[in-house]
Amino acid sequence: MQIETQEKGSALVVAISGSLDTKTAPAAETAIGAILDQGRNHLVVDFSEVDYIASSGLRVLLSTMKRLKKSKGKMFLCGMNPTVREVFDISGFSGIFKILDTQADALAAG
Amino acid sequence: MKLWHKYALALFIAAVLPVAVAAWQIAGSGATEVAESAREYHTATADVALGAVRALVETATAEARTLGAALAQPAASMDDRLRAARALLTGAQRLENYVVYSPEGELVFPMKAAGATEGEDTAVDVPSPESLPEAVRKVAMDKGVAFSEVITDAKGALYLPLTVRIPKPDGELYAFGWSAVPLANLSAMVSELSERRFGSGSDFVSLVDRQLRVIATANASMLGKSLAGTGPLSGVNDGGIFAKDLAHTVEFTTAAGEERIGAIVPFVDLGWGVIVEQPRDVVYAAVGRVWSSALLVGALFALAALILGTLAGRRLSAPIVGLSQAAGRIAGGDFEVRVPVKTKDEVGALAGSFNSMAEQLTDTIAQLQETTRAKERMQTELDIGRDIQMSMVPRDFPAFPERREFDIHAALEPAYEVGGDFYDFFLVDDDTLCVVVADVSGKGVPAALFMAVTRTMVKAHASAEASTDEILSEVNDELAEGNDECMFVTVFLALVDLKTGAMRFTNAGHNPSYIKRKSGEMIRLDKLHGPVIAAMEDVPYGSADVALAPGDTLIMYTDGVNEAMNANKDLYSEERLARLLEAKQWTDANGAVKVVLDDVWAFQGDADQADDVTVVALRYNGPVAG
Repeated sequence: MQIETQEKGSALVVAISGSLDTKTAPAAETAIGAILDQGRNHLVVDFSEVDYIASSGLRVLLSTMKRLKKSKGKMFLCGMNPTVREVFDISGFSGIFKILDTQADALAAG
Repeated sequence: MKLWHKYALALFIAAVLPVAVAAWQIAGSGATEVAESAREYHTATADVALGAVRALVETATAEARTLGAALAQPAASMDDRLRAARALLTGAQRLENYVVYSPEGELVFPMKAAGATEGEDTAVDVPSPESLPEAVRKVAMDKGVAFSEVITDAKGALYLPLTVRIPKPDGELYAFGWSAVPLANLSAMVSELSERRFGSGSDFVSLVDRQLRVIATANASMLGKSLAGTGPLSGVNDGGIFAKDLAHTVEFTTAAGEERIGAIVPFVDLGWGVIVEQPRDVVYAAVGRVWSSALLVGALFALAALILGTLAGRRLSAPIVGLSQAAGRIAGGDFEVRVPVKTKDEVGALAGSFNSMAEQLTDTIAQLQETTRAKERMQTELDIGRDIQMSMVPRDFPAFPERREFDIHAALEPAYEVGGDFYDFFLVDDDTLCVVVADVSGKGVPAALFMAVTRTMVKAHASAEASTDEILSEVNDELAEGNDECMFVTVFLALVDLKTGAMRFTNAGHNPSYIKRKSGEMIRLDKLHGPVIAAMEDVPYGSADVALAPGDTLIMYTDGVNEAMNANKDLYSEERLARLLEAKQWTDANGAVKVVLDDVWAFQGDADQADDVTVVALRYNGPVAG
């Protein structure tokens, strides 16, 4: 699992690659937590390079969203492949997060 | 063999071998040289003896001629001539007697030294011949002097007879003069020579004549005895070897067993020989001394090499022995051990490498201990979590033996590390069964506690009057509040009216459950009624209704089933589960659970179980009559 960030306008694109599972979730939580600590308020999480996400990965996103909610921030998810999308759908997280097809869509939505 | 032993041995061999070879060569050439110098010494000694013999013979010859010349003086009277001759005989150094023979070889008169009376002239102490043989006269005529075989007098004294030609002043033959030259002086001479050359008491020089008789020796008892075929003349039977002027070296063993070496030098004029010989031991004592010196030097070298080798070997091997001991201590668990780096050579480099290795080992061990401790902590936590988890789910089957309307069975196989599955079933009232299958995100004690809270809340809110969506909404709001860990739970919740088979259910982010009708028809309860619970407050949940007919089976499971992996990392998949349920038959809930588990384990094979596997089956038998 790797995380790269890139400024795009007011948004910070957080591109995750690899698997977001029990083993990698703590690292992802630390990395994203650091971004939030910097006061970033507008995140676009790009899942283009994510091939698998487990419930521990969902928890990281959930906790991120909860923190952003407190600071009146916003987060968009995008670029999910069908497998990843299915996890969101099955768990019902699709109804909790704002999920868009492409990064461009996500940036436009913000 | 220890390392320093090898070093010491190598140095010892390196030092001693050349010395040993040198000593051997020195001793070897020494033996040759000693033999050579002994030969020279023997020959030179013989030459001295020969010189004395020659001087004696020449002096005697000259005196015999002078005496003859006095007799042949034509001017003087016979008396005067005899007087002069007697005077010469008296003053002669070698001559003791003189006999005159006619040119025809007949005895004319014997004469004695001056002072003797006339009449005594006829008596000569040695047996002179009655007449001179022609052979002797011929040699004397040709060469001026002839020597005959050595003769002995009545007392055993030895004499050399010589015959000289006495010419007249005009050169014509006047007469022959004969004299027996005493050889006693020669024994004194060789005795003195032997002593001078070989030390006192020695009889190492002797003179033999043509017949191999001893004619001069320090040992008087040997005089006149033949040496033919014995001692130095072993293998020699006549004086032929003295005919040529050629020195011989001899080596022989005496009757007493003593080894002797020496030389035989001929005196060709007379056909005599000088024998010089001495004990071999005495000669080679010098070689022995060389050997001894070489051995002593060699031994000193060996000792020095041994001492140096030991010191150097210990010094060389000391760091390695130190390393070896240090390595032993490390192997024994002492990671603090270090070795001093004293040199800049390979051994020093080795010591340096060893120290850095020990350093790394120390760090690694420290890390390992830390990791192990952390793992143990985590493992303990996981174990506690699993204990809570397993203590929470009902595991006594049949669960409701007195109820014949339904049959429920469940299995939960916890994974080693991950997993937060739980299930529950209970009667909310006499006719209503509540079934919960859930999966808490997270693991260990927090997940287990979250699980316990969830289960308690569901139980608290479940009632025959409440709908499944209402129950979950309330549980969700309560759980979401203050859920800082952001844990969440996927839940399938169902309420079944046991009298009618009517079932209401809500799926909150959980896997779809299946109903297999008695007819074999499969129904996938695929609709999702809301997200996982505990994630967000105020999320709306829905519900659905389905009617169970007698003989229908409701099969619920967690994602541990469809995400089970085999060794090739293939997923078990929901499709495979659906096909399995469609294909297989069972007669009770236990049979349905077993069908699923058997297939999952068969698929997984030797691969590790990644997540908790939970299967719950509810078979509806229909209302009990009356």
